[in-house]
Amino acid sequence: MNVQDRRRLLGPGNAKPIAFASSLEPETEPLKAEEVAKKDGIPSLSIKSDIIENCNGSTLIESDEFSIVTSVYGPKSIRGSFTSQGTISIQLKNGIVEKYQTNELKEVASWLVGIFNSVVNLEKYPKSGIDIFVNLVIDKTNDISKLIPFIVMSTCLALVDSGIEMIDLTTAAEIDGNVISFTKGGEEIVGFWKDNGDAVFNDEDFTSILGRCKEQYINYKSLMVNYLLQGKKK
Amino acid sequence: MVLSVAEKSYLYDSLASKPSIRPDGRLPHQFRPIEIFTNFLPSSDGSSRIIASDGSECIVSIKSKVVDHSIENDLVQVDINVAGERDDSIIVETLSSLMNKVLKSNKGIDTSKLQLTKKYSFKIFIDVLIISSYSYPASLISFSIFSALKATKLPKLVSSFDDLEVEELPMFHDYDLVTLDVNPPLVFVLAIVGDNIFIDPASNETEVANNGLIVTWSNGKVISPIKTLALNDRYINGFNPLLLKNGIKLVEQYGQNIADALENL
Amino acid sequence: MTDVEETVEIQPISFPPEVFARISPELSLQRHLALGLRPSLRRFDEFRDIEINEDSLSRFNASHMMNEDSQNNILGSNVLKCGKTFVITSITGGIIEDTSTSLDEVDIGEKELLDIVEQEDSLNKYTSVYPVVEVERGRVGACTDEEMTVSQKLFDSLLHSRIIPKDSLKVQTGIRTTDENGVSQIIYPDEVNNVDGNDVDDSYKHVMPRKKWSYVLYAKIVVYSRTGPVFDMCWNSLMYALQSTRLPRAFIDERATDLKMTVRMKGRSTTIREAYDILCDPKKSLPLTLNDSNLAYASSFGIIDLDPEVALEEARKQEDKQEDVEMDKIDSILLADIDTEAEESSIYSTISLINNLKGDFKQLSIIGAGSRITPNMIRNAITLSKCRSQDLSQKIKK
Repeated sequence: MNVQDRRRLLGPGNAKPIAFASSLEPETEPLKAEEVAKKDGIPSLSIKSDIIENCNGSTLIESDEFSIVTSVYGPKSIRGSFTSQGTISIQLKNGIVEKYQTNELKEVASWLVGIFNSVVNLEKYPKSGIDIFVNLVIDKTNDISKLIPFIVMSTCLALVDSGIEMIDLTTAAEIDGNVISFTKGGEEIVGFWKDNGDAVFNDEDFTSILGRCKEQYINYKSLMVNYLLQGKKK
Repeated sequence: MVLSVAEKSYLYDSLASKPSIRPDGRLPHQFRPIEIFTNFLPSSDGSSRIIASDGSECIVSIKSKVVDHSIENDLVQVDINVAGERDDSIIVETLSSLMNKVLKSNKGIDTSKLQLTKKYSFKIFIDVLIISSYSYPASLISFSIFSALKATKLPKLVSSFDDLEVEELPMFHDYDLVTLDVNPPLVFVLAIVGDNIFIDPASNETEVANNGLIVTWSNGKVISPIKTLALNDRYINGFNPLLLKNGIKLVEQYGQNIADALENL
Repeated sequence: MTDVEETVEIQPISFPPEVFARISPELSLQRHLALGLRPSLRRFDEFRDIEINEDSLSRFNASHMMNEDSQNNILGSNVLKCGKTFVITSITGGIIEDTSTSLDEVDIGEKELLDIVEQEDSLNKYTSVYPVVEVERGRVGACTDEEMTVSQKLFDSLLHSRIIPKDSLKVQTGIRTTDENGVSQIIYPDEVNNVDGNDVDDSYKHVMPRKKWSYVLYAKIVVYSRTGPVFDMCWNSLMYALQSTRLPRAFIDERATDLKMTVRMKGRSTTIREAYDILCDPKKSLPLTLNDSNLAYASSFGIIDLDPEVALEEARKQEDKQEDVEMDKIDSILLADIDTEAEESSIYSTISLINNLKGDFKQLSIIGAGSRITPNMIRNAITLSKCRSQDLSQKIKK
């Protein structure tokens, strides 16, 4: 922020944030073999819904690498002119370590709006707004592409928790920096995100990436369905 | 332009039919005509102004600065302003995040072309002003950045290249300029309607698009970022995965033609 | 004749408790209180339990993977869970150049003057952290009044509690030397002294920078799932976080230490700036020394008058017996640890306390908004808050 916010106690202006020297010894690269083995598998996740009292639906998804808290507020009435269908807004927030720039977070957020616009039954909610807040509380991945599948998953589960009508459960999968968000059991794509690397889209690679993503998506989705069914039994 | 429900439905059906019919009769890969002027800003190192046939207009100015590249890693910085939008509005932040990713050092622009000496490099500041836009302006911005960078002339270095041992600052020739030789990537916006895909959707086409794609092209191949883009919030829907591949192929096929056209101004 | 005679039956509408609490919070609260319960089903003097997860997020916590993350700049942290609410506090730091001349360099006359001033203003020896409180409530835009007042109150209370001495934030700079082989090494003069036992300080004195720096601490406190007033939770979480805070060791590069400005004037302005850049050691850190005896925890109470009219029949019958004894006396009761919307919106009289283990106050505020606050209640509140402090202080591992 370039303008000093006088509503906050920001401390002396001439203080410099702590800058750490880069480590003297080169950092050890993480084991490659392990990484490959982990790549397509599902990391162990802990999912918890209804954790936040003052909102309509919330979900916490945690693993060793990250912790994402999503809360849904709405549907609530919006001011202004009549709209024949609901409007979704998504805010992505940095957690305790301010890793991502605000414009990058907004870019991801507006991309997510595209996904949820296509899976939430917005006709049911005329003249209403659905506000979704995603907090990336802890994130050790350093790469937002790796995090997006879980952001989509937690947002989807929080929407379910809030009782907002959805056409399909969606989630995303990530392979080699290609993030694909599917619906209809993998028949259709609702979102694609690629930030790094060349697109080698010859027929073979494309089919292989698509297939692996679809497999991962089906795994994640069955995880979500299992979680939701368990909750129902209780 | 606000279309009625009936108009939208008619438009959607004609775009989704096989073969598709675009309202202005264009082919799926055909662009609308654009006008480009370059180097009209005397105080910047390179500039361009682009006007699309629907009246969308964008101005780009390139400025440069000498920096120590061991300290400064980012040698390209893009700033985007959209008339009538706040700097922190979603459209401005999203576009600037996208364009910065497109032109990110070493991937979008070859930073060795900006290097002056062993210690110093040019840092390029790209200021984009969108005066008016009727459809998603990513393509327009990237075309004008492309032509502005192609037209950029920077001062000629006269001091020695190797300045690691001697503490000296780069010196430049009084008059001579060197054309900046870079190949910035181009960004294409595609609209998906039904099972058809179109390059450069006009505003009425974006209103009925089921989804959109942003595809980046550089030197004959498609590179990242590639992403889907919601062009409206009414018709948005999932699409067949094959369309993603088709879209990328379409860009791969015609990207070079566009680059050639822009280069031969 | 039409049957106008037909009686219109008015059915009493009944609501489930949660709906009732929403449309008439005051009535719902009174009904609960008349039964000797609170809407949260806690007893009048019962606090919510607190669970803490100390220092799992900070850089210098060796037990956790977070320290492998090079971008992590968290010096101390705490996650506090209290009922449904959870608070995440993270402490980050900055470095500021001390422009005030250090005492050794001041001549005697000035020093005496300084002493007088300092005696008057002993608060000057202490400092605070700069808190930014964010309460998640599904909105965007400017911060709310609550966030601003809680931040300000945290800042003031921490300063006046005299918990963080300014001295403990002084940076003891080290020096990074690079030998001819390009191997760099960081030397901290105070560490060298400790190892050898003899005074090596002199040998480094000539390379030590003449400037002085201190740390500035910032706290980011995020409150999720707010159900009631949040100050107590923020304060307690901040206390825990501060106790886990470790300050990184800082150093400046050898090249920069003894450079004369005149030499550098020939170079670029960037080199001058670079010269005094103080960097922090990625691995080494020192614990933040706090004034332990002043560590204090917060608790708050609300006082509400019981409204006998509202009590349900059965409860009123019981009360009738009591009323014979104490005629005309409006009962007011003390509620510990106000929570839920009903309590927050209908209780105006509050006692808020911050005290240390011995029960010494660091802060006390009593707002008597119409309710009867008896000395007995205040005494009660103080006793309870002391117990609470003791309980809370045991939560943290020493």
